[in-house]
Amino acid sequence: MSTLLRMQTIFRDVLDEPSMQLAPDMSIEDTPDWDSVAMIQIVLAVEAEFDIRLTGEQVEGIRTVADIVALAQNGTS
Amino acid sequence: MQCARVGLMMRADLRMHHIGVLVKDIPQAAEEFVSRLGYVIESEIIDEPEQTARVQFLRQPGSTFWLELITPDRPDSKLSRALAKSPGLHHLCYEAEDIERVCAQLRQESMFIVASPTPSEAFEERSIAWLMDRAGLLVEIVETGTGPLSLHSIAKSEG
Repeated sequence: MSTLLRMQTIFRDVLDEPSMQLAPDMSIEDTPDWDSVAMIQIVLAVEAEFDIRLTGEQVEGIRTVADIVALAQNGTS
Repeated sequence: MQCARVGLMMRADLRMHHIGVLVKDIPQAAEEFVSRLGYVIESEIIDEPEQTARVQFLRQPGSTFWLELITPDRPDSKLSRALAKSPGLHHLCYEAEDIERVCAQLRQESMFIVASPTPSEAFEERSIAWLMDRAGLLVEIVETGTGPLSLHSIAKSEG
């Protein structure tokens, strides 16, 4: 399964939107449910799914799905 | 035991202020906490538009901290999803003298900043901040003060 699809499963679960279609260019600004609490819940789920550990600086730099996918891929490469 | 003592010394700047509980209906929940568990209502229901919430504070006589009942203030509140998924225990709140320093320390200690310090209507414009630990526990920090809903006010009323 691709990183994006694994990420989509996480977003669907955290945001409670079972039919959500994730796209790399989706951003915090245009996804109202992706608020600051959801962001950390997504990060914690990403850490568990990809067996990585992100820093506060990395998390604060996340603005789009592509950003978090890149962190997951870099962390597991 | 030694570690526990050191921890207490290091975190003496954080004192339990309240436990936040997410409920569907504040008056109904308050009535249950009062009649079942002996709580006393200690505030009006307070609008917190910046938190998209309404809150009310209760306390058991003799207790050194409050229980905060929280409910979404509208259907699209950022708390509505949390209420639907997991009502009940929502967060722990601690009072701190220097909220900026405490947030920086907790961030250093692997907690994530959810919201940086900002004035809160519930606490007469004293700042609050939100953090989350790696277990998903939400923690609020409220700035120390002397007005209503400050730990100072409990100490004063308890004599």
